[in-house]
Amino acid sequence: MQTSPCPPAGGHPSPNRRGVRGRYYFMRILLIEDDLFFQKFYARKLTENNFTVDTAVDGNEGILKMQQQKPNIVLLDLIMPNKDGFAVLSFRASDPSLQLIPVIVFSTLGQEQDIHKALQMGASDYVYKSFFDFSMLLNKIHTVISGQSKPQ
Amino acid sequence: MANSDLSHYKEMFLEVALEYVTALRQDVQLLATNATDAAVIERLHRSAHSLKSQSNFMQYNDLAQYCKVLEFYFRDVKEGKVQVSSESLPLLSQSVEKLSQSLESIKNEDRELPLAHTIEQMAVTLGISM
Repeated sequence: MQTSPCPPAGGHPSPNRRGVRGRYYFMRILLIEDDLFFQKFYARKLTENNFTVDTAVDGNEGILKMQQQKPNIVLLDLIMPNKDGFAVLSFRASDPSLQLIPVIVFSTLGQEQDIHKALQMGASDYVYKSFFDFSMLLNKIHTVISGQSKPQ
Repeated sequence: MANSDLSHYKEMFLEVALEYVTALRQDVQLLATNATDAAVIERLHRSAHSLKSQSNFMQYNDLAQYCKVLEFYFRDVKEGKVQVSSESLPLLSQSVEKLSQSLESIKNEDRELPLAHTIEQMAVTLGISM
């Protein structure tokens, strides 16, 4: 697993060697989410926090982009058409190059069985999609990237 | 009323929600010509589900509950438990317009329409237990 340094949660740019303010470090996140609103919302929030965000609308596109782009981390919705999150996790488990990419799953409150199954299939952690707590998401991203991944 | 932090995303919510309402309107019209079109019913179910999820997220609770009735109805249609009838079609059309009106209220007055009573009536008429 890559253990790249994480940008500060506030996304504050740091001066480069020439003293000009620039972005500190871009972590690449792949957001696999079919719901247009959640895709736009989380993409915007993550971009505002200096992440480089790629998106995929279903599991098929998600797997292709994981293979092509090798993101630092994947945020994965579980319920999607054209290959759901579980199928993506299963594919990832069969590909050694993709196993290096940690995955946090989006779930819906009341679907704890889905979360348990996703964790069993290799997801590092989960967040509830419908309850907006962006600081929690950032904390989980940083924890997972730094290799201290234990689901909360 | 949406969480004050989420209010910054009201325009994004409305942009996507209006797309879903447009899709619902078009697909309900398609049901009038073929009430058993599986692809149309699937789209209606997914649109209602998605609109419910984002309304929940933005804390437009009546709107979310209203969409939940539609979601459950189209789920039951998908599963063959109920059939779309000539009686239910006008109600479905009216329901979509009610969603549109609530979005207009959110856009212009920053608050959703109170729909609690309508939700209950609609659920009973469509045979949905919430």
